[in-house]
Amino acid sequence: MIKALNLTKTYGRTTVLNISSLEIGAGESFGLVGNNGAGKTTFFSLITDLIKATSGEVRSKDKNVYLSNHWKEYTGSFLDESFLIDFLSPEEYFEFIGSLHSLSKEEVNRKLEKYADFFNGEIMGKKKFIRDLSKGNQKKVGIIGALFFEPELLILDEPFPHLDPTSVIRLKKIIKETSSKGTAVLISSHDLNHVTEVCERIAVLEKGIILHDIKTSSNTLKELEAYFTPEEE
Amino acid sequence: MIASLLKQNLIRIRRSPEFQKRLATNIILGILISISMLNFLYVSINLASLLRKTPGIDPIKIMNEAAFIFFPADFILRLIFQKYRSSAVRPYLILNIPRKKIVQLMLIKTGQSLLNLIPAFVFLPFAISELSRHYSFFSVSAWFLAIYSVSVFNAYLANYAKIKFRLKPVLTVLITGLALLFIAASIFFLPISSGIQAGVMNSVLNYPYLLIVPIIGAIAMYGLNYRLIYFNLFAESDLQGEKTSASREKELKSSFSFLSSIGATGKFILLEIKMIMRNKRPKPLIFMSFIMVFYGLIFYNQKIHSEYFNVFIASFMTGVFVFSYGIIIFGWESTYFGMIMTGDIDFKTYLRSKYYFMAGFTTLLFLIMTFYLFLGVEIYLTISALFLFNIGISPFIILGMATYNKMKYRLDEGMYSQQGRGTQQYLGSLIVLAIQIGIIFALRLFLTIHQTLLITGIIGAAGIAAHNYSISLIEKLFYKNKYSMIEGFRKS
Repeated sequence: MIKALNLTKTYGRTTVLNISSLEIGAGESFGLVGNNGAGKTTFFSLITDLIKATSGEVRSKDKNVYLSNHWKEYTGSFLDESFLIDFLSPEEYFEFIGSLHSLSKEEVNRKLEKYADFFNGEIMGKKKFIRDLSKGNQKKVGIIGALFFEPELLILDEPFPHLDPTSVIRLKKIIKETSSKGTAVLISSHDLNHVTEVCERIAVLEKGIILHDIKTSSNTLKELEAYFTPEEE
Repeated sequence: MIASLLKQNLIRIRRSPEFQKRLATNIILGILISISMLNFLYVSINLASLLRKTPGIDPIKIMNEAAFIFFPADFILRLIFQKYRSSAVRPYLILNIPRKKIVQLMLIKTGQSLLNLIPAFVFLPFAISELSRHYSFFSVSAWFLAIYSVSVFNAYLANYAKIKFRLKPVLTVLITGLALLFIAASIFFLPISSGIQAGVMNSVLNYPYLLIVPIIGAIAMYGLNYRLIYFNLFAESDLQGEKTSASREKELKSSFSFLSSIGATGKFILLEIKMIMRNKRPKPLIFMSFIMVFYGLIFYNQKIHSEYFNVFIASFMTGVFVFSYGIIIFGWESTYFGMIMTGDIDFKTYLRSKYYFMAGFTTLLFLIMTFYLFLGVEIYLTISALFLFNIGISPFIILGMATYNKMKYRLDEGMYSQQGRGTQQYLGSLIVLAIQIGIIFALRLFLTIHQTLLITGIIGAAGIAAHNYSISLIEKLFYKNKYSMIEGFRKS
């Protein structure tokens, strides 16, 4: 699905990302963990062609994302609030995204039905614009907007903060379901618990370099915790 | 404390990406300003001796009258250019800094403007070179300080109007409009020769203690601002969410439903219309554009029969929307640019929708302008030729320039806000205006006015016919510049 080859991104003299080779298969659920400034968002921005690589390339289905727009047809992503059109109502927003994937209004509504629990009655039919929703609810709109049209690749940057505990549990379920239907899922998170629960494979990113790349097992959480615990303690 | 806050403010300006990226424009602008300042200085120094050579003219009287042209001009300039940014002090609100200090800081910052230099360049040299020969030092100082105090008064009056506009837009527009009308009326209908204006300033020279009047005025205006900001500093930041719920929204869909039936292009135009109608900042621009349609009435009615002037007015009326809206056409979408970039959107269709929207709206304005036929065929032909040019050529130059605009443009700011605006944009609009006027003037050197207009119209029509080609050129530029746009728009 995704291949990163000799990928680097440099700002001035600082290299913020340096991945010599990384491959993420179709249907794989891949978690990226790392401290602030480790390069997680940079990596996701490169996959979605929001920034230009200093060298190397990202290939999505074997097509360089920088040279082809093909990836947009099957990729759903939510990285930050710039993915929300905040003067639309949530209904209009979903309809707009649906229309980009040639879904009719009815089809969009049908696909959204299964997220009614997650929305908790606070989003649809409230006659509010997205900008009038709370931060958590805005995030829900963004996340569902990225996945309801059943993309083959889903990219979420830090999906868990701002959500209430019930919503976090529901979101994890939604992500797992999406993944089990064959969608490749890329998630970044600070929360080791959540990632180990959702992802089959986890990579640790530090200062732009991938240090660990492991299949999730019962030991993973302990390994990760040990890794992130400061030495002096 | 104020000093350290002001210092922090300087650091903020110096480190802002706008300042660094626009260094070149800033330098050019700085040079232009210096040149005009030197001009003022030269004229002012030599004015007295020039005027003295002309018999029957009293230089002091002339300068006293000039002061009364300066006052309204200064106010209008301040209304347009003076900056008021509450966002800059927002971080201080939650720190252990007394509210009093924050308000003072904002007001001092408001007072800092290049416009403050004008009286020093225009009136001070004259005061020193001419007035001091006839009046005491005390009188001359009072005269100059009186002018300065009115300027300070203007600064805070303009600021007051701007804040009020955010709080109560309709009322403020009405009051400001009436005030401006009053000023215009007093300039045009109170003939300068009546001597009233000169008399006022003259009395300051004769009775220097009258200086107290403008000083009290300026202090009172400062006090009014202080009170207003003091009590609205929080309210203002909370203002955004309140008035905007979808329940108040009129159903846009029904009136524009034909757009969604014309495919992807229509879809984006519909989104554009929603963006305009539902946000505080773009909305007034539409009303302004409709008002501008009648701009020509002010001038075409006069007995000025200059074809150049006609061209200028027509160019402005038919182009103002493209110039002002188009130059930030991507900036309008900066808050959700990530979505546009990663959504399954064909950029050619997207750019085409931008073009159709600008051309379509301009066409609507042009249709309203049909009434200019009553003022003469000549005038209407001029408008038509410029209209064709402004939908056939200008939109593409503007679209191309707009891809270089990297500043995030917040949609919830007020209409007068300078957030996200820069000299680059003003210069861009001016350049496009200059290009078309330049072409017409150049043609006019060799041809009759009718031939010139005909060719201008043909160029415009050719541009419309070739719009697909132009759009593919813009697309290339868009691909080249999109990364810097994304990066700029992501910074807040």
